[in-house]
Amino acid sequence: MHDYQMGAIESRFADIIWENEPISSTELAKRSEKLLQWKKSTTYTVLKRLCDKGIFQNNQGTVTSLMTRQEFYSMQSQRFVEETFAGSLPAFLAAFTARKPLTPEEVAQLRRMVAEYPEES
Amino acid sequence: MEEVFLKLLNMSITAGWLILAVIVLRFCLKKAPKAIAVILWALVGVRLICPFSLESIFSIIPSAETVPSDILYSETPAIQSGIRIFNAAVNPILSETMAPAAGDSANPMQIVVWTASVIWAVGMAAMLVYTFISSFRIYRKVREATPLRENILLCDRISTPFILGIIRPRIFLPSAVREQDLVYVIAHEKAHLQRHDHLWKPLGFLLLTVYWFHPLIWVAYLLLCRDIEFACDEKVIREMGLEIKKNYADALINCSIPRRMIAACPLAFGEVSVKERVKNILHYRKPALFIVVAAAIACMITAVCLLTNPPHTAFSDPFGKNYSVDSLIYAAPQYNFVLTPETAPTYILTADGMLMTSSQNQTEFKGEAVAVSLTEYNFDQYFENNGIGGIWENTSAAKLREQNEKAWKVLTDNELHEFYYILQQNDGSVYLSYGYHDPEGETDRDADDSSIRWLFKLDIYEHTVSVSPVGGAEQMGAIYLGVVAYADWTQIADIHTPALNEFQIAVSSLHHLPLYRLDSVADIHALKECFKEETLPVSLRDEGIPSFDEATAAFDDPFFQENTLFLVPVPADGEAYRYDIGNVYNDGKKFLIRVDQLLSPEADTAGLDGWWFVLVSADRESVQDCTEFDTELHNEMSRVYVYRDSENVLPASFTLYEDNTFTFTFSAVSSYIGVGTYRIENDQLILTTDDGNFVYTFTAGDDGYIFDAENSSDMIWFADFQDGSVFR
Repeated sequence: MHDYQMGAIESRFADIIWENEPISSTELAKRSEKLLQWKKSTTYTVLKRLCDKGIFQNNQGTVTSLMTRQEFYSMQSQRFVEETFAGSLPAFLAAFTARKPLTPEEVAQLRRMVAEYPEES
Repeated sequence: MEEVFLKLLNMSITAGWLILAVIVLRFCLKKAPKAIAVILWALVGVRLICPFSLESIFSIIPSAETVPSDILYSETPAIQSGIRIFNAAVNPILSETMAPAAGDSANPMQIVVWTASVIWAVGMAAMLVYTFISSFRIYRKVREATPLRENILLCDRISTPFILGIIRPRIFLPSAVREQDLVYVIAHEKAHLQRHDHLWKPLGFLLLTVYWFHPLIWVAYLLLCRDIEFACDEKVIREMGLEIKKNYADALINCSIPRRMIAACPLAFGEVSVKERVKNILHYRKPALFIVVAAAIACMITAVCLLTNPPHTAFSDPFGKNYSVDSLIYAAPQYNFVLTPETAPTYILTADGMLMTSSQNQTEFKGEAVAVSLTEYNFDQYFENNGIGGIWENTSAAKLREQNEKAWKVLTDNELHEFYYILQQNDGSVYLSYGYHDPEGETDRDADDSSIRWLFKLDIYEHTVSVSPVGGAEQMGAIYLGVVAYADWTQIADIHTPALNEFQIAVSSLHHLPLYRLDSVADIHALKECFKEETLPVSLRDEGIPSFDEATAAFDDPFFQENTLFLVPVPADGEAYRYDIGNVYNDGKKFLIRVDQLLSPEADTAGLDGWWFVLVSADRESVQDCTEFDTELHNEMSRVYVYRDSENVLPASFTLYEDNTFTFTFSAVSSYIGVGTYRIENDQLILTTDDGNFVYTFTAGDDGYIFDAENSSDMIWFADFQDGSVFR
């Protein structure tokens, strides 16, 4: 739970709950559709995921939170997580594509390269 | 499936050459806009998609069909990569390991190719499965996307922007994209859309699933992805101005910081190294005009040279034509006697693949031509010194093989084991070799003592078979037409009526055979129509006796301009006899063919149905004044000799029988017939009557016997022959 980073859109969805709780799941689905243009099934899928993570709960059609927004975000750990391909690309192909994730050093190096490049007139 | 696989294999090999060229060209054109590189990859795509290609002389593709489609059925499987060294290295191994052995139900090459095509199909299926699974996972992810504006959506779990959809493409951006980067990211993705990359990349990947077995195709795909990204970057900078380069590079870096989310996307496969892109962006300048022009020209040259195939003028097979010897190319040194263009026979290659020779006296059936591939082991080796040096006329065995387009082998099964090669070269010229075949060579290549004695260059033979001008007529061998016709004896009259010697047949149909005269190719066909009940003539191949079609193949329109053809049908009558021309007599007035009936010991003793056809060709001039045409059948039981020059209607004649007896009819007037025994000593024939009173001596000559009055008893006064009379 500490490691769970919500994506920006997921956050927006979570905000709907935090701002309107307690909210019925049908109402939630309606709002999600209006705000995010999500299908009903998508709403329920994401809701279930967040419930499994222990952030919200769904009691017979009524959705409430298990922690406040503040509490949640303060628990996020700032961790730099390596991107994984989870076996979707075989190792040799990954090497081929040079699709290695940028290390912080590489990022810094590149930023430097860009900053030092003379301005175009 | 095997044919499809072989076709794809060949296409991938020719594409491979193009890919190599494009890789080199890309390197040379680094300064040029990357869009040019993408166009070059488009050429590769064309090569991989189009099964057909234009031919041009500028093509530098070594071979359009490296693996020939007939490799599955060839006696000596071989590849034609267009690179001699490679061919020379691979083909001997192929012919050694893959040559079909008699009795195999499938040759090894077929098994290998079948296995390969199965592996290919499995690989392709695996690639497609991977694609579907990846796509499925992507679609699941983008369910949670939220539209931003137009066709742009934000999505949580993606790490890099991408485009999804072919008909209505949508741009997906990571939801965490920064405000200041947004404009550049969107510009980049929109550039992709404008360049239709959302079509090219999947197409490229589809080609990759089909051609997955070729490593260069992977290289091409990855470089394509790289060039597409670069081309997009350049397009954005061009349109937004060089000032934005730094901001754009920043945006790129920001977008490439990895997220935790999984990016299993085949459409994103081939993500390009960020470092290279940043470098390229920063160093981008508007390219000079001359570079663009040079690059465009390079593209066009590449297209012409590598998108087209080498010219492949297919010459029609050399069959269905007659050939004379144009020149002697090679003669094995160990033989004293050599055939020259003058002494060599005419070679007849019939439309149904038979080789026959025709020289002054007769046409001989040699054998059936079987397609082969020539290798060092079944060709060069048969010449002295492996076909190097020696008595060669401006070429060598290896050179001939290199220029060879198609080849056939003809094996005779006579005791000498003669065999022939027929070569059709790239430029359409035809060669023929004659030599002796070593049966050991079939099983053990190294113990193959076959040798080639002569190699000729052939020329189409326009003229007819040569005919001796005066008196005598060309003789052709007897041919056998195994078709049953006129089994009903009552219809025999239909055969006799059109014959030239109808009258004589009426006198004795046992003795005289119908004689037809054919003056054109149409006549031959008309005759064949009369005698056929079914269409297929057979031939007694094993005995070297050709079929009706094979034997009459030599008689074409040019032939009939100078000559005429006589044909004698002889009923086989269920007997095992063979027939041959005994003699042809032509004195300008009388034209006579004597057909001998033979019982050949080698002949199958089973009876034959149908007809024998005896063919005699003659110079038109020599028969144009003839008034009398006849044929006679002589069987082995007896041999009749007639004094042809006699003025009488029934000339003097004697008959020699198997059992050494004879009868001698002196004249029509006399009722006296000499009977006795005869013997032949050297070239003398001595007839002795049973009563011992008379002896008649003849000397062999003039195709018969010449009466020797000096050594004979006195002639009966009314006999019309004298010393020197020739009995034939």
